[in-house]
Amino acid sequence: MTDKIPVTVLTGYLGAGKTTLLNRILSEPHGKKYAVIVNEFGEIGIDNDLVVGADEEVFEMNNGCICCTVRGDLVRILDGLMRRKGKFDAIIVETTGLADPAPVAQTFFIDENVGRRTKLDAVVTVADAKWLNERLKDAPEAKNQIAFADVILINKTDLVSAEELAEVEARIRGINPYARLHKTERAKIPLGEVLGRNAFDLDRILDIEPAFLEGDDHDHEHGHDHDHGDDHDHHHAHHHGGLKHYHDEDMQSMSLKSDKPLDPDKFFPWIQDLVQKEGPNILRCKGILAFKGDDQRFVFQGVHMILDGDHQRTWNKDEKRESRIVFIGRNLPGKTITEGFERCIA
Amino acid sequence: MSETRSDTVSVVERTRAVVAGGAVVGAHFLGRTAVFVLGEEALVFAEPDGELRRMGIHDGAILASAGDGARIVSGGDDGKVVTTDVGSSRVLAADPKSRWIDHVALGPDGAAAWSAGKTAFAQAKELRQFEAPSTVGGLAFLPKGFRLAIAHYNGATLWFPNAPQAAPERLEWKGSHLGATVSPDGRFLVTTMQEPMLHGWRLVDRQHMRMSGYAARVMSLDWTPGGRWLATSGSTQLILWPFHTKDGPMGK
Repeated sequence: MTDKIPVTVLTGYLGAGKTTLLNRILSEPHGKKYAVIVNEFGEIGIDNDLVVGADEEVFEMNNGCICCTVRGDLVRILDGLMRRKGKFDAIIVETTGLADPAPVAQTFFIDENVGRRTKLDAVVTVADAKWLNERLKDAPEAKNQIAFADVILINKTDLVSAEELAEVEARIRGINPYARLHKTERAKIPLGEVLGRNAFDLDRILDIEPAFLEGDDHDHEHGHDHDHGDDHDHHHAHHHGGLKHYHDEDMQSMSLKSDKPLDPDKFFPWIQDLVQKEGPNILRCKGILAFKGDDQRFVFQGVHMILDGDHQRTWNKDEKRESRIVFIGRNLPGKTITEGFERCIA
Repeated sequence: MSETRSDTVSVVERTRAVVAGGAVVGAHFLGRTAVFVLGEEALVFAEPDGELRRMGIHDGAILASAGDGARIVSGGDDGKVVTTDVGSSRVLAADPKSRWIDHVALGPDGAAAWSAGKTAFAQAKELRQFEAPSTVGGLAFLPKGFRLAIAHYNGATLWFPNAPQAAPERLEWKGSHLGATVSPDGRFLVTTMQEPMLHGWRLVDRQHMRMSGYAARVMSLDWTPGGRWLATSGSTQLILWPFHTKDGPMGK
């Protein structure tokens, strides 16, 4: 498990600042070596690192699942990179601005060889503070990139007013309340916030701000990211209590939780069936689960119809054994999902 | 009482372990010398007398290799195609943009082929190139004539490098085709797919053959001597497909 090479996927609409962030990652003195898979050669050039050009070739799997698409070029490149294992510490995949992140993420779940040797660390999306609101209206790719993200950088904050920035943040939260948000100028961010996030930042879903949740009770308890004690906190501070709420017309998120243990024999058939039926609409799902008679914490994540899960660790003694699942998708059948989940309680 | 006849030597007695000093990604023979292809940089020659010799041939990962007993052709992430015989190696081609050489194949009469991204190259006397519709997944020469099978997304293409006016023949089958092999009699083309299955075409009438039932992606396959069977990985068992009848494995 631990010797799998972490892979960070870098997305963001055209001009948002992906290349700036990439150059920053590569040029800062962090003592690590990265293999970088880029869609266009030439924009970055750091001698120390392995840079590979990719073609972003997406194809459908012949498994009867229409949303099951894979980046064939990534399978090939990762195969090749593994021959040089030991020469780099992590892999970064940069996608084009118009790319849908789903095929990239699905590649890590579907291809056995890739999945055995690498793990998806996080999807990092760079958003343009000035233009994102416009793109969310006219570019479905931009919305997918936000919905998919584990970490979002609202970049170019120096080009917008405080009100505009608050507006963008609220729009992003309307689509994806679970990602970690950072506000940056010229993609300046401590690299630890972007790299080495580990397992899609799963624990994040346990402490989501309740005010953002679907069907929330408007108890404004923004509980901003206290756990990364760096200079970002002051950014969050002035939105305290004043954040607008948006519900995106077609992209929603929902969160379910139970403090009673779940029955695995009910849960797995239910979730399998759910993603089979609703897979095309479910962009992402993640969960931390407590099963009856199981001392191990079970974590899972999914992209469209594909699910991947495993025992993560033993529950701590003082830890609340709570199950939590989140979904981000289009036109989610909230009632059906909620009722189905409740039937899984042991 | 052993029933083993005294003239039967076990495989073990005829083998010896070779410490190659790196991950081995391919193995070929050059005459009686066993040659192991390392994942990075070098070949290791294991001579019949037990001597081990290392020869550096690439500046980086070795992504593909093919051998025909007389030479080994390899492609690397340094963008080079290198041909090696028992004594020496030389660079056959270098990609001007240092693109990865993903696949190589050897053909009849000293022909060689390789690919970088979507471009397939074939060299007999002259170097020819062909743009595949998507990234090349695998290459295999047909046993007769100067003809190359190129696997790619949604099928494979049969290309006559020396007949630029002839349209390449397209064989369609949806999906990502990753490796290619042609039966020694030239009747069948088989590709490995991203899904755990093989796809085959009987070239005379383009009849499809779906060979599925694998637990994992097929990473390795080759023909038995004479080409009667196709042996493959992809399962805990060694899978052999019969190809000696007119219809190959169809219906079997």
